[in-house]
Amino acid sequence: MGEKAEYNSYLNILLQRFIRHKLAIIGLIILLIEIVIVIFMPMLLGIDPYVSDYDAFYKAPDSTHILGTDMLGRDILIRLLYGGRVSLFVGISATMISVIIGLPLGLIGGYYRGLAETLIMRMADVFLSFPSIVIILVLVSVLGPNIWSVIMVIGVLGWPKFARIIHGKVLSLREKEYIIAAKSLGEVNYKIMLKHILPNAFSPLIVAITFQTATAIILEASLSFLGMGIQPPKPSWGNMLFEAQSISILTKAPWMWVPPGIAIVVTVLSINVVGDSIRDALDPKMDI
Amino acid sequence: MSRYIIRRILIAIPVFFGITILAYFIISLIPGSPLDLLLQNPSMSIGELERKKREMGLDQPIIIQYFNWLAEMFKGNMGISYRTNRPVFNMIAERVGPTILLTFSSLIVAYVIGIPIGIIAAVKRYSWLDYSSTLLAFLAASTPNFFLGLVFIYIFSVNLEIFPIGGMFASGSEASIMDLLLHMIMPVIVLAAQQFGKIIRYTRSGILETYKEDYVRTARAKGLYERVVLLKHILKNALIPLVTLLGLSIPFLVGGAVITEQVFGWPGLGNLFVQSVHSRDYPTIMGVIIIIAIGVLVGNLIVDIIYGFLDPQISYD
Repeated sequence: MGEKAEYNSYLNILLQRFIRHKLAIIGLIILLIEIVIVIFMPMLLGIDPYVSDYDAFYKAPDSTHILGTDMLGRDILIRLLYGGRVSLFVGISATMISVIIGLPLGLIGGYYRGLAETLIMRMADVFLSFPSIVIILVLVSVLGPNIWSVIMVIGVLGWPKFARIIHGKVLSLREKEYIIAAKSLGEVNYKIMLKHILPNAFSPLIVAITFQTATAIILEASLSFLGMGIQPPKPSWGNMLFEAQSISILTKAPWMWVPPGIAIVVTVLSINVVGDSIRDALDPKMDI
Repeated sequence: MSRYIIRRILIAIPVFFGITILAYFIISLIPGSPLDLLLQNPSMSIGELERKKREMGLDQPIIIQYFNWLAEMFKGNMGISYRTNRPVFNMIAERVGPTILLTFSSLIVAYVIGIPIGIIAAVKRYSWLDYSSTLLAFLAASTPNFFLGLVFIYIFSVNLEIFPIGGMFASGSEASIMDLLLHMIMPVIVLAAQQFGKIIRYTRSGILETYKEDYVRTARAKGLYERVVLLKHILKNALIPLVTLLGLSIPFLVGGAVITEQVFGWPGLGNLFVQSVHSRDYPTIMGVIIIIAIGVLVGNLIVDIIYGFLDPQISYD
């Protein structure tokens, strides 16, 4: 620890720890490139993902269609890019919904204790002990499968993880001197929660958000793969794989289903690696 | 110990009610009622409709309807499938065996492969072996099981023609253990792959934590061989977190089975469930949810009991 170290802010330390994970840096770069590509590349290519090329049905990759075309003559590359938009959008929005529901419930449960806590946390137990894909499938089929119901259902079903994390954090903080001090100074409850407790729950929260985004992307893909998610003609990585359930596409047209599969793996892998490194970086037990 | 087990069972009961109430509530959200069909009959009078309603218990508050339904459920009356017109109970009974076979085999495979890799990663930490096992763990956890399943089918069934493409037995020939094993290998590995990334990481970190303990240093100081220290002193304690992991992974295992069975046409509960969801066969959907709920809770109970036996620090009260 030289003189310089004194000027290191907490964020700087975190950044240094994060950079040490080379794999995570690669993951982060891949994610950033991917986001830029799915947003801007469709504009550059200028191909419509819904329009058929009548000269090329069911064509293997060649110079006009770099990733080939599907049964209806639609370009796979452009559908992959639009599918990427859908998958990332669903993953991020569903996770936001989970946070919006789970965070206040966890705060309330941990702060006020009593009946509210028992009800909320027992409900979280129920949700967490049951395979969520089962309930999600039923709910989406009841609501009608489309992008909004998929986001809603995956989002709502994701709340218990966040409630549990925040709840645990509040329990460990509520008896701390600075909280008691704030209380005795007459600070209102919701301000204590927002100003003094929530900022301290930031690190586990950010880690959970990362992992939950990966989970939501896989859930959307699984639903669409089962034909209960994003409905064609709107492309998503999952419903592009749905077509591979047909044995002739699976065996004779790998260009139609391998790219979306690889896209899911690369995206989820990158998110998981980044999340894992953030967790490591935020872990105070780890020395630099 | 028995007090501990009873306590665990008592905790499981509200969870069971929670899951079934949730499922019943979701199903009751569906627009339309069983009476809609009767309404289409032009000779149906209001009085007659009311009588039917009472007969079917639909005039009761929803909470009473739920308990009536639950009571029937425990008598083994799960209703009649809309899709096949067969009793749901019989349809489920046929499907439970294959699902249990699939999930248990994949758990065993996942732990048998995962634990040794985790041990090697911990013993040779920061070597290329450790890094590649970490990468493997991440890759396994990040690959959706349906994609892995499709890739397996493409490589091993279509191109190499080693394993059958799906199902449980080859049609037409006599059912044999060999045939079953051939059909099982791919779905079991796909379902195991989803589990074993976590097993590797839990094993590795469990061992690394235990390395620092005083009793391990003592064992080494006594001059024991490193192998003995590892097998006798470290492993026993390092593996306790794996029991916790087993409990945590039960919902993922069942959820994974739903999708894996679909990919391989494995005739289990998950396959039945997806078919039922597609054809909006609500009695069957509810039946499968109940069975999964019971399965998950029994699984958790078993894990808790194993945990109670293994970890002397756990309190029984």
